[in-house]
Amino acid sequence: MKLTGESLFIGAIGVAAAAAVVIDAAAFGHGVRVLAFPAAIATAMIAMIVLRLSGIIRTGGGDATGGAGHADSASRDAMGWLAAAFGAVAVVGATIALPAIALLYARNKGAGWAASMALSIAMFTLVYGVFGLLLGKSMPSLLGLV
Amino acid sequence: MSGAADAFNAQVLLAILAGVPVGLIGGLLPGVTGITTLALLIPFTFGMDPLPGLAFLLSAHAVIYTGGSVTAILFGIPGAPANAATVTDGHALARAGYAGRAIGAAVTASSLGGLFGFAVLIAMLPLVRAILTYVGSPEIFLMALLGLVFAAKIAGASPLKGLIAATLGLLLGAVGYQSSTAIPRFWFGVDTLLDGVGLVPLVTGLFAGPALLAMASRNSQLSGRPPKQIDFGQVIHGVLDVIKRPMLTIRAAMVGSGVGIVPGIGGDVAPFMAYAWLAGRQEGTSASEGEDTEQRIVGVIAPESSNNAKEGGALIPTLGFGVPGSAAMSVLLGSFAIFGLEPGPHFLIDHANIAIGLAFALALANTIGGALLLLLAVPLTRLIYLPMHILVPAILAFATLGVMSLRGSLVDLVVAGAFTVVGQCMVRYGYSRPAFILGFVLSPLIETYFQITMGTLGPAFVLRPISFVLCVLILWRLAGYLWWHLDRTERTP
Repeated sequence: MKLTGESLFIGAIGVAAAAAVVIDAAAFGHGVRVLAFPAAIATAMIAMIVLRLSGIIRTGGGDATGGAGHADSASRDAMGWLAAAFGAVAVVGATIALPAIALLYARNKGAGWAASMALSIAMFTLVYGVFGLLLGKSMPSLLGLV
Repeated sequence: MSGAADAFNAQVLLAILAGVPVGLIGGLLPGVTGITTLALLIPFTFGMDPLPGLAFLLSAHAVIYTGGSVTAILFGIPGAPANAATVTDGHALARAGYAGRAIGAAVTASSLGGLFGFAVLIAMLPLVRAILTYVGSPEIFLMALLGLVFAAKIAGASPLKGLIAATLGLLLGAVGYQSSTAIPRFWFGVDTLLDGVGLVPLVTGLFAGPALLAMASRNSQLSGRPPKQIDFGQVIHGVLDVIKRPMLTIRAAMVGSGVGIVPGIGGDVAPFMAYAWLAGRQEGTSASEGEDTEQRIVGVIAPESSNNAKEGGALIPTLGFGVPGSAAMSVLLGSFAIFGLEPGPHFLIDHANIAIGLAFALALANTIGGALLLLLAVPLTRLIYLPMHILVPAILAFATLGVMSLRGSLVDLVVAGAFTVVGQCMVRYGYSRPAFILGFVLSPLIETYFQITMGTLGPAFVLRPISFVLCVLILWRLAGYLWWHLDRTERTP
């Protein structure tokens, strides 16, 4: 079972949406009145993304529900490379960038962009872990290292 | 009828005259679709009054398919996706030495189809306006929602992917000040995002970006050469071919208008439907050369007439209910905000003169575009021979200028770049970009009217007659998608 480019794409969208809502609530203190609509939309979207991901996982990366169809081997290789690159970014982010951003955030209290980056990267790493669990693969194998 | 008079004032006429050649050139260039052309042109309407600005965009869009038919006939490559149905018979005629006749027929059928679309639009607008007097906040909210649900399904694509794209657009549309509380959301300390994500960088990134990448990756101009001169007598013959077949042109235009009226954005199927219904033939049937040529002319007239007629039909739900009838209309709706107009049912009541002016602009653009293309078809096709290494940077510079002209902010350029990546991924994996744009455009409207509805009526709003019908339609459509999804899932081993 391979991690496809599409699953990475919609996974990243889902994570970004969730991160945006969480950050807006946590860092900017927005409540239900302001965030109810986007939170509801984000929840619906993530539910649909999970539905689509389940389809992708079940068909081993094939497109069960129409659309773009199968990629050729060259683009599959490119997507594999992209997947590995995303994974590498996530690992680097978790181990190096995250503490650096947290430090920067502490120095410039309330800097929303730093919080958003930190949380996005954390969520990205988390989703990679979830993907690994879903696909029964370890992080190194997702990265194409083993 | 002040709208009709407005359409003929000097400013609007000038806007139409400027828009038509740009649209024709956009249509001639394979890869530059109607939406891409609109995306590139929107920044050039800043500072214009609403009617001239919208007339400029609409007239450029109205003749895209007319220009695209010439590329389809001469090179066998559709200038715009909707011209694909013309390739089969149009290019066969060109190879047989009837290029001029095919172009004459295609351009005339396109123009007449566009005029038919205009007639349908003018006839329907008063009817739609009468319906709108019964529409309140709940119905506006539900109509916008219905538009999104319809938009999720483009012919052949997965509705689930369409709904994901539409909800992503809704979410992106929530960036910036919330209309009811004036509290900024999702701006993360970036001042430029306080006013939300700009439509121009978004549309440029989503549509122009991937189109430019595709053109750059092709990296060569077309291989075939068109005839140096097209016999004008043949062009006239082609024009007469259409005039001799009035019922064919009208029936094809009816197909186009009918498909265009249906809310949603599957308008590109109209020419294929018209072709299949009116010009389809059985495989392997033999015919003499003369009969074959006549059959092929029918195969050019049917799709081209429906192609332009669908835009008139598509304007009905777009202007009447704020629900786009074609993919390009979602971008046109988005541009309303630039002119301080709110898409939705109020538009036709508050700005009837603009709606009527736009209908006349559609008619004028089709007439002028047809005449221009009949005279200049061959010289214009030489544009196609511009090498990609010249064409792509030129369009890129044009697009960058447009993005930067909005607020002079580099953030907009970054947004355009980011959405080029998103757009490319959406193209690759089959996610609907027009549904995304529609969600983005309708997001503030849906949120605002939902809040008003819940604040005044509460959940009981679904019991209002029109609201109830709209709710049933939405649920019926969603149930259809679910059934489609489950059916496809079961069939997959």
